[in-house]
Amino acid sequence: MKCEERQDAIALLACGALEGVEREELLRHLDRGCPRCAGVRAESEATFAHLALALEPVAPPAHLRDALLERVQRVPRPALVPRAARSEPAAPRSAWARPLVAAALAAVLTGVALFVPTRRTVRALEAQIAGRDESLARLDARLRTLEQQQREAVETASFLGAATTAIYRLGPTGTQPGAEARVFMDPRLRRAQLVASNLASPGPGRTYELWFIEAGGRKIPAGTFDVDASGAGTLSAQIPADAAEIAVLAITDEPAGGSTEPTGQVHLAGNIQASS
Amino acid sequence: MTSKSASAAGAAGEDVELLAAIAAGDAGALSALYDRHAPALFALTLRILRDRPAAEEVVSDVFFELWRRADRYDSARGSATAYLIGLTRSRAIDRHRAGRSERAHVVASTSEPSSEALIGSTDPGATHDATLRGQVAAAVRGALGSLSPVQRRAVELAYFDGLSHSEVAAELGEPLGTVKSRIREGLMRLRDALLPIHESGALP
Repeated sequence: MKCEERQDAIALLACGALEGVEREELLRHLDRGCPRCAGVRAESEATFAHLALALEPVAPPAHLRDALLERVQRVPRPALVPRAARSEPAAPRSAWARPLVAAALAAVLTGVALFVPTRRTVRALEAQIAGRDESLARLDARLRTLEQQQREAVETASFLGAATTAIYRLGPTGTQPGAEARVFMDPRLRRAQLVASNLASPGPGRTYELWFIEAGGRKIPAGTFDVDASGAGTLSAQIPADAAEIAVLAITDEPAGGSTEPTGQVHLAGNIQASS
Repeated sequence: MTSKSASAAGAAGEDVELLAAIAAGDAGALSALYDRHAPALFALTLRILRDRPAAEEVVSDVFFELWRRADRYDSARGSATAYLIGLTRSRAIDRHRAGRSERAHVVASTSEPSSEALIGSTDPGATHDATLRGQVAAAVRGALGSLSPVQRRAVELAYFDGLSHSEVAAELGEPLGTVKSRIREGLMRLRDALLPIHESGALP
């Protein structure tokens, strides 16, 4: 059925006379949100309401007012949220122009006036937005991690590929015969990159620590690292500017957080001057 | 805007504020709204029910319902006055229908006084009421006066007596289709008669 053909039915609905399947069909159509028919309905209802305003007003007896107010006082009632306050501030309106204006708007703006969000839909949308915000924050954190990893990977690749980078092999000292490690060092950039494998877990409350040992014997802590389940661990270290020529690299196990001087067992070690 | 229309818009704005205050639990706002609208609503319930105690009860119940459920009013759907009238008419018609089943005759005969007796003369020139409500009443009377008696009767039977369109058809002894177009035609004439008032902005 076309909307033009619904005009009689809308007029009947607006004055309360529509019945049966015609009423059901029209209400279904209106529920689907036809802005044009909803606009006509609002206008028609407002127009018919004038029939009431045309009646000569009759003052109700005073006792009716008193009884009402007394009844109201007896009924405690929580504050309600008026629909008027839930949406945008109401535009200035006159009593009867409003439905007409709304109807005209509805017809012209194809439903803008009718799709004023209800409080429930606003809440649902807000919940959805909050959910999306959370997912976004998680994705954002993940993205930052990946970006950081990628920067490190690029840096490492360029570092490892640099002509000045030398590779030193650290061998097992007997505590862990299968363990091994390589250290990539660039004396110009004063950078070192450790890649260890087949190391056992250092045990609860302990960690591995890399040492730069100068030819003179001074032991410089280069940083701590942990190993994964497969026994692999990595560490990027900066060679201190005041460090003299480094002769030996060693890895010990230390209390978590590391030590300033080696206290644990040496598991891997390599002589730099010997290997280069 | 004339000062009259400005005050009219203000009054409509106040209605919305009163409904908001009622929703917030302000009993004073309820009595203010009652003082403003009860006479018109009482006239409506009297017209529908033709029974003074029942009409009083419905008016009281409507305001009590407003007190309990003022949050149901949605300003986006129409004016507060239209809402009050719609709610009152609906409750009065329900009451009327409940009582109707107890009566032998569904409605009084067509010789029953029509709108002329209820709202006075159908001559729009006869009313020179300076109030806004008077202007509206005059315009509605003028529109009703321009309808044929049977057309006017169809609109009144539906609006004030709560008859369904088939009941209106039976009452008037006319085919359904004719009744439908009569009511629509009545609506159009009412709307056209009210249009100049709406456009001037002078509204209750």
